[in-house]
Amino acid sequence: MDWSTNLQMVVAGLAMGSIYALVALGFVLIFNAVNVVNFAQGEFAMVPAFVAVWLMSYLNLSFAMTCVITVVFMGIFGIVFERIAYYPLRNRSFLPVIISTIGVGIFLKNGAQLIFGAEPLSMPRPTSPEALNFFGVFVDPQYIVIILCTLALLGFQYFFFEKTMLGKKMLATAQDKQMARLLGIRVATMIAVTFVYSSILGAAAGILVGPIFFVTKDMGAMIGVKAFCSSIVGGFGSIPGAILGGLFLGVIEVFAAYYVSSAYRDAFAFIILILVLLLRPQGIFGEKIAEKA
Amino acid sequence: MLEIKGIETWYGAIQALKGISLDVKQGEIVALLGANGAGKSTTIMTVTGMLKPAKGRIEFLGQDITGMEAEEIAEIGIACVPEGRRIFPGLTVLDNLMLGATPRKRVSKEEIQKDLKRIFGIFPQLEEFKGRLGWQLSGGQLQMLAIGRGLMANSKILLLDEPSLGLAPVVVQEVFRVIQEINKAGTTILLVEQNARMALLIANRGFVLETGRVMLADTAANLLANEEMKQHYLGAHAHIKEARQRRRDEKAGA
Amino acid sequence: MNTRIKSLLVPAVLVVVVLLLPRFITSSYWLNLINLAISFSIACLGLNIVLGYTGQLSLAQAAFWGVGAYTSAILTTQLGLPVWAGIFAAFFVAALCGVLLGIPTLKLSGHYLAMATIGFGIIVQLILVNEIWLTNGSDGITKIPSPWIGSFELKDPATFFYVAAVSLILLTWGAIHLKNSRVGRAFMAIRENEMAAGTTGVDTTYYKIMAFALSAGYAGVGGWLFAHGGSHYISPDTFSFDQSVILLVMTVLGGNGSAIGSIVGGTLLTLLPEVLRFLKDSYMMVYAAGIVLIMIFMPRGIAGLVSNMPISLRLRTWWNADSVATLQVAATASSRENSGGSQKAFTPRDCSGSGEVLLTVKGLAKHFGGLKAVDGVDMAVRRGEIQALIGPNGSGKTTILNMLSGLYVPTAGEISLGGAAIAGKKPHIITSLGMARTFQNIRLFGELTVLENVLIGRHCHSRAGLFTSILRLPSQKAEEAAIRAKALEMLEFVGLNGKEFAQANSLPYGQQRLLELARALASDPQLLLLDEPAAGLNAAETEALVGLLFQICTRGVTILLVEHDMNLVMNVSDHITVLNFGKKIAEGSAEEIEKNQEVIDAYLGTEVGNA
Repeated sequence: MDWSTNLQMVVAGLAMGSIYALVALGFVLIFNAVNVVNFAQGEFAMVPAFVAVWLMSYLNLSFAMTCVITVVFMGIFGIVFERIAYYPLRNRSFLPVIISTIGVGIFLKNGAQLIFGAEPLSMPRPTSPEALNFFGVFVDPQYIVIILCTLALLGFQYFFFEKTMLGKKMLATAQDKQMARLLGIRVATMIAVTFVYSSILGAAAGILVGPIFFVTKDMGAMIGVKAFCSSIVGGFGSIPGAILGGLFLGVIEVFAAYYVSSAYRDAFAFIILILVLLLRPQGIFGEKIAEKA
Repeated sequence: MLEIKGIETWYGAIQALKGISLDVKQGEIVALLGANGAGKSTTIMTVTGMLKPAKGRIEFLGQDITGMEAEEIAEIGIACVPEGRRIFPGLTVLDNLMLGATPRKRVSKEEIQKDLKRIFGIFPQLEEFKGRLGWQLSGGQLQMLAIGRGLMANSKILLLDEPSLGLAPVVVQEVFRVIQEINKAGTTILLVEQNARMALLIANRGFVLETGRVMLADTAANLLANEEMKQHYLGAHAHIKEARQRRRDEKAGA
Repeated sequence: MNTRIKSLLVPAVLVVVVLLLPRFITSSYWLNLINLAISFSIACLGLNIVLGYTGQLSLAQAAFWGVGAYTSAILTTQLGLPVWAGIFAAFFVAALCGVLLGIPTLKLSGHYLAMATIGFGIIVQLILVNEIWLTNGSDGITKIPSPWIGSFELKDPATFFYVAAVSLILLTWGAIHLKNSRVGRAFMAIRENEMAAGTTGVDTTYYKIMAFALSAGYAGVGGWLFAHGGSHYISPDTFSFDQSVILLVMTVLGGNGSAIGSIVGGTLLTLLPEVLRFLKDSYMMVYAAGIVLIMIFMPRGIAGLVSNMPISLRLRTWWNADSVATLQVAATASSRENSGGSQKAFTPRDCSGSGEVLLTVKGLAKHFGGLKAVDGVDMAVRRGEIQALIGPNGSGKTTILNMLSGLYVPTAGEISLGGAAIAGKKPHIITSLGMARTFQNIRLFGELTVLENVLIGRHCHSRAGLFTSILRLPSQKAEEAAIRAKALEMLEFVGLNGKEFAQANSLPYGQQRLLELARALASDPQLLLLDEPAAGLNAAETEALVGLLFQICTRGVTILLVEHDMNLVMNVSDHITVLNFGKKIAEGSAEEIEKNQEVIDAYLGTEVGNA
């Protein structure tokens, strides 16, 4: 195994990991805000991928235009999703909410199939299909785009939560909803904004990953569960944990598929998940949560 | 200023308030006293809109606020420092304070800075630790921050729920001193306390709750002198020895 | 109608239905569909055990179903195992997988558990696809044999229906028995309040794994029916995550927690696609939208709807009439036996206050990060006494109780109860060693009846295991009767007789406290920990409580209580320990404590000194 192959795999892993990280962030933000794991989170990446393919292939819109429209569409989608899958069940236990998000997930998958057919679609690439040669390391430029876009989004997010009052109010809502209400923070609005934001993160993931895979109705499911694994591996509820966990799983997966078994590629995330749960339940990067009675 | 008329509040099947009436006048400190589970916090939560009363009416400055959402009630000038302080653990002291100003609409940055200065004047420690995260503070500092955050709303009335809870006696005295100071500066205060004696020493009037009802209502001075109060809430256990003796005799007999 | 006839009624109806069904439905297409519905229903029954009874969400039920199907298919086609033996293989291999999945994941709950089970399902499917030598990969296994009786092959759908129906009836019967047994109550206690289940004596980890294994085993049997009936062909894509979701929806639609509901849900959603065929491609969308609507408008499923109808209420009253009457007779009998009312509700113990130390605590400490909640406390509780632990809020009282009862592992220090070291032991072990407790914010098993709550309190003094419970063996019946008698005594002792069948969380606050006390007492504790028992009680209720405490103490149960009501504390305590900032600042009799200057400063306030 020469170093250039390994380096190529690291880049590929980081790119895939970036996608996991984006979707994992969506999970974590929603979980922090409403204590619900959104089992349709993967579909938040599948839907925009289809929308983008449609805009580009059928309406022949430019890539930039497509991105703008998709993001706006997903923003609205986030609100609608919140109103249907979460809001009516907000005062109930976690089980009905989980099932309802699963239900919406199935609905979206089959809706996509009904509208776009069962055949996998390919998304036009915004980047050249030629691999770039960095001193003998061949890298798909799309990987570079994925990593850079993810970094830019994370930078934006950092700014948003650290520097804006809206960000602070969202954090406050996530940490203590009752107190937030007592301070006059519109908690319901904050929650809706959280769904919108996490849906937009999904839009980014969908548009970015589209060109390297085929766009299918099932693409979201696997991204979704792996992103969830990432967030647990990184330490659930933690924003940096979700990012690091995503990157970590992305890289591990590429290496394990190469060196161990490519047939079981999709199993490694779960094997790592179970190992982490056994050995370090607070997550690799997580702090131990204080027990409470 | 604040008038509560016969409110009844339920937690599911359990009735926590069985018709509570009380009033707070402009500029007063009113103490709300009683044992654990008597309904003190429930009363506060009902006033703030976090709980909805099944019956009764709450008026604030002549306006009916019964059944209004908590967010709206915060905006019309009722601020609350809830039991357990409820500081956002992952936000800094400064952020916590700034969020306290959320209910104020159309307020200039200068005004907020001015209020921030004023609060740092009352609690110099908060300025020192303004960059620290909520969970890194000690109990006393948390209580100071919670009161500071409540003051940032620049509200007409401040509801304080058990501010002395879990604090060392010295810190408790400090907290009560600050409450008096805030009151002198013009904020009306409704104070919920288990530490009845301390509360009555700074209050104008007091209401004593027992199992969801108002049992006693009087001026603070009268309550401090009240025999029943002494026995139940002020820690003078005159008849206890008697009861204990009875049990001793029983034991010896058995 | 007497009980004997009633108990024969259901089996009689079932036999008639099972025998006649194939006469009326002759189309083999529909019979195959019914057999499939039965296979699904059995998997749902299993899911109902883990989700409905125990409250743990599993999204791997289709994987267990597949494990059962594949196990039997492989063993019968490749190794020539008799098809009937395949049932047991399917059950046990699936159950074993349940245990294997359960061990790492059951520390988790809720979402984490759900996601871990999804992962398990995906891994199972990957194995089915990739281990071609074993499973024939994505081509699947064909020509799976039918079961034989003698020389008669149960091949056509009508005959196989009898196999399926009998399996379904037996497994449903088992699931219903289970619900009303010691094991089933342990499951439900975990669902209702896991922490309280532990301190009431239920080994929560063990029972959660058991529920998982049993649930997987049921799915395995369902899988066996699927493999050996119908098309005699299985392939990996049947056992997908989507199928797990469908099983989950069937269970929840039917009514989470109700065995009959699982069957109704399973059958309905197997037949529904046939009815909705006209929707063609959009069928799955309609189906998914249905799921969301059910969650919003029918949270308790069909069983919930049906059981709230007046007719079913009347039916239930009629059905239970005898057993309620029996119970009342039993209760009166037991109270008559104990002439003198509740005087003998406890095994009398020598409580002359021998001065023997029952509980010793040495250097006990608990730190949460930098916070020293309890910081080196020594104390001793003497047998037969009432001891109080007082101090300002946040001084570490409840933390000490939590360490004593095993909810917290101490950072340092030793605890010994009657000579046995218990520091860091699991709550159920400590309970079985003779310690019981109540909670500051009452933790009852809210959805269960008053009687069931107290029955669970008896858990550590009863034996019935999984199979005795399912089969309802005579030994189990006898034990149940004994547990019941004890529970009724306890309810009478605290004055809750007549409320046996009320739902625990429908009781008024004061009675909920009494019920929690009865549940704790049912475990025959040597030491009873009470965390603010008078909180929220009015004066009259508090007075009644004081009387009760004295009675409990006189019966030989030692009491350690945390309480803020100084009136109560000074009234009942033989000995008082005062904490402040996690440290002991004083101990002694009530008189001594009242005069102690440090205590006055930290806690009581100055008025006490003047009185």
